[in-house]
Amino acid sequence: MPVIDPDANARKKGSAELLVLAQLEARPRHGYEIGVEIERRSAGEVSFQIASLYPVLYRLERKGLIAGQWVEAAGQRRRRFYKLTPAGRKVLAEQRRSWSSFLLALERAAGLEHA
Amino acid sequence: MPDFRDYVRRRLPPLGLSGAREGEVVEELALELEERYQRALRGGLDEEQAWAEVRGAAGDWREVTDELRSALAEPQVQTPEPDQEETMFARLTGEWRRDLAYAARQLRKGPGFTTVAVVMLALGVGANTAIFSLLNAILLRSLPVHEAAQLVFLGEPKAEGDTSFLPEGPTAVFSYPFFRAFQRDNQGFSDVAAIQSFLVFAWGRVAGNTAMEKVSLELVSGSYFRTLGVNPMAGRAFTDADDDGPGAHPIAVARYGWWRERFPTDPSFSGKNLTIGSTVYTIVGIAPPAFSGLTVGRQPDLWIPLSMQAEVWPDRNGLEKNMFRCLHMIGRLRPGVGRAQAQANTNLVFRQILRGFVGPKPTENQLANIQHARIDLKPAATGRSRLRQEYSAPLAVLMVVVVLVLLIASANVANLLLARASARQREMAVRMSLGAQRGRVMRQLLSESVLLGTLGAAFGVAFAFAASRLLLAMVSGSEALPIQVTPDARVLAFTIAVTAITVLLFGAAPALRATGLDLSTSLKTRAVVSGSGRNRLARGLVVGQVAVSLLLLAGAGLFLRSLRNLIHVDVGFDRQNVVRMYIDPRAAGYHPDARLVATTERIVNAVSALPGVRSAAFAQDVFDGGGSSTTDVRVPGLPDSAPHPRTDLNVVDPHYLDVMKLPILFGRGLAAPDTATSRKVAVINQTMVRTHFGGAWPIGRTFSVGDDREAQDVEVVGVMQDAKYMELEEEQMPAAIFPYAQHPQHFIFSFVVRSDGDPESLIPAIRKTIAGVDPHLPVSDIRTLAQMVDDFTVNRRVVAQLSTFFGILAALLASIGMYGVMSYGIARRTNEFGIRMALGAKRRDVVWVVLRETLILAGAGIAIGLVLAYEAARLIEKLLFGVHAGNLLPFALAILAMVAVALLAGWLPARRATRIDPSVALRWE
Repeated sequence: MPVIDPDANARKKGSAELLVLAQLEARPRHGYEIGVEIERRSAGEVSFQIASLYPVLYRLERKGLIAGQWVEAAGQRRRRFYKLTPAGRKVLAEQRRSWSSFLLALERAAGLEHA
Repeated sequence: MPDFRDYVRRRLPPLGLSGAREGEVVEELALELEERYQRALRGGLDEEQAWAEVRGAAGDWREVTDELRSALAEPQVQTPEPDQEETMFARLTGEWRRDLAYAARQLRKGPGFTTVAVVMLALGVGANTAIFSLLNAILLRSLPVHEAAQLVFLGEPKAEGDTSFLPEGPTAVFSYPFFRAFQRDNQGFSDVAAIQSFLVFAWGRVAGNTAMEKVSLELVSGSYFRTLGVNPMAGRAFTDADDDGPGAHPIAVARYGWWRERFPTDPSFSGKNLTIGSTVYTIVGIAPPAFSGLTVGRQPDLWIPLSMQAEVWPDRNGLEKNMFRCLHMIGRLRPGVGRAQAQANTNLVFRQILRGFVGPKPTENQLANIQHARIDLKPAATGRSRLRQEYSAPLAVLMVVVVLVLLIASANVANLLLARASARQREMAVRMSLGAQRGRVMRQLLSESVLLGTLGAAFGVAFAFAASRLLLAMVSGSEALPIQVTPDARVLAFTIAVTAITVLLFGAAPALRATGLDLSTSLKTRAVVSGSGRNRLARGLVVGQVAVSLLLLAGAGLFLRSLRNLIHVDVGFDRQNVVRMYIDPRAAGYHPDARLVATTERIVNAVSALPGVRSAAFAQDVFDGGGSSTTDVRVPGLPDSAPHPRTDLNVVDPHYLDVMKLPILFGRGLAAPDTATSRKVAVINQTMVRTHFGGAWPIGRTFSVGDDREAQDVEVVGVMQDAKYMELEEEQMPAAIFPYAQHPQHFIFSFVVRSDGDPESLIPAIRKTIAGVDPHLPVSDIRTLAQMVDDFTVNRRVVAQLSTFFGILAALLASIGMYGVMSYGIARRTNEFGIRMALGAKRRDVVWVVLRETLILAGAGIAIGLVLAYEAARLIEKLLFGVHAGNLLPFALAILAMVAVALLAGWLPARRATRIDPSVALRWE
């Protein structure tokens, strides 16, 4: 059971954006790698469909929170890598704070337990 | 393996992006599918199963499309962060490129605004560049010589000569014996050269031609070219050997331009001689093209060694005379010797040489004079120039004037930008709320200003190119001055600096204002909120424009009045219907003797007999900027102690007083019976009666001039009315005229003819008559006396005309500025006017509301302008002729002009305000 259903929630965009930004915190990654990383970290609980992941990436990019760039490595096909911009880093920190307090509130109000 | 790209392309409808971007999206999605497919295979699924997995991950393609479209429609925010691979420089240039491209788009969107702004900037920058080109050419440019900074003049080099022992102040002209002694004894200079202080004109035959042509000659010492470090382009320069033996070195070095005109194709020297009188000069070298002597605005055709002075200038041979001082001296400082050190040594040597000149028994007076004698060293890097003395102050004034005009133009552009900025306030607010940093937005606005400024400067330089030529023509008067005014590196640097400052001036304020706004209010309401702030700045600019325009108009008024005074100054003679020409008897082989006197008499008689001619006369000098003068006039019976003022001396034939219409007040004029054998006589002017005869009855008394044998115990036979003798603005001088018949040792060149009507129509007949007396006499430099008087007003005319032009331009620009601010204000207040009119306000009332505001602005500007103008007038008072700084008329006229400008600028928008339809106005916004 997914903790957050990215498709059926009013906060879906917000949560998806948080997830994507968080994957880019350590280093730039390409689209597929982001999806895989989210799946891995959530132990398979959250997975993105194409319809969810790429629109989120493009939206973040247009907002200037991440920047995409084609990178060609020798002997491989080129891939588009995304990385956090300073603005994105700031937004990530803010979202982390607000989601934490939101989850804390849910926990208290509804007696939820979160992992 | 399936073709994923093809798969995506077939399922994804167009997203409405550019082809390249669309391709990238397809590529990225295909890559994702491929990775998933391969992961499935690696996980042990077969191809069929893996393919099904991929289709599942893709989901509903309609949904994918909608989501992508919505995401890609988000407004694009510039990322301020550089890509890792990009260097700082590449990032900056990239951003600048984007900024400039964006600015260019914005400017293209408002062609009216752009054109007006560029035209105003072009006028401002162009006027500055043009005036600066002239200023650069006349005042700043270094001579094209080796290490010009090491060169110094001994004294301030003015074109003059002097035969008195020593002047009151510092000495600046020297004799040839002094030069030779100084060259030998001084220790401060590695080289010293002497140059005659003025050019000598002569008629000669070039390369055996039969026709004579006029050449200008500069007499220089053998060390001249070496001291300057100028190497001839061809042939040789002079050497010290060319200095020894008077008359022994008939050689010449030609100026490149003069040589090229005569021998465009033939570079060889052989046979290319110059014959003047009976002397044949061999041209031994050609100066380099850039070099045309030390005098800015005056160039010799040829240089000739000073040892040839007697040949070139037969009646004034002074090579051997210790006190025949007509040479400028220029020295090159010895390496390691400073100017102060050289100055000390120079004065030491100067006094030693003077002691030697006065002999073993000097008088007390001479010793005292030597004690006071001094030479001031002056930098010579920019050469010498009469133009510089004449124009340095006017050019400085004009430079200030054009800078002020540029300020006014900048204020107008700033106002236009402010108006645009407030119209774009919402755009700025949106961009900043989306995270664009303030600096980034400001930079974008500034790039628009930079682009405007650059366009303005480009047109301005083109405009300046034409304008500087026009300026040169204005400054030149009747004869084109040989000055290069085409912009050089210094001028371009100046223009770039001016443009940069201008851009900052007009661009910074709007950029700061546009970005320093409160985001939330701007987004909620349309940009009315900070309108008042914008207005305060805009109004301040208009007040400043009015003030500066008033200053310029009042200044122009003062200059015009000064010019008028000068044009109407009483010259003491009648300048109408007189023509003057030079007749050079040396060229026809005459010597200063009785034969020449007889020939001039025949010419006078023959020309006087022509129909339409009233009288004709020869004179040594006719009001052409020069003449002979001396302070050494002695009157028997009167004490010699008080220093006499400089007295103008002229040698004329008896008809001169008639031709010039110089009235005789007492006694008689000069007459035919005054001959070589009769008693020496002279006519003096009123001032000389006062200065030399103590105001007593002078007729029948005598005076003597210096040690001139022909001018001792001269009897005063008449007193003539005072007049101007050398130039228009001289102080009233004492003057004496002597009959030519009694002073035949002088050559006499100027020939003046008074006619009944327009003298120019008589010129062919006069020429023919002169040729009838002697066909070899060359006639040149034909001018009417009125033109000659007028030539003295050229510099004042230039200042008056240009300051008037710029004053009017400034007022015009200010009125445009005022009009812009008023119409903008009214557009903003459409609502208010609508309500006023709906409530029954009459048109008159509405007009008054607008006009009152305009007049308040103008009034404030005028008040400030008056203070500025009065202070400025006191600064330029020295440049004015017969006008006081407190002269009210120019100020009154300037105020009237500015009020008229304000009324016009206010009336047009006011009329528009009365046409507002209340019902429409109330719906506005």
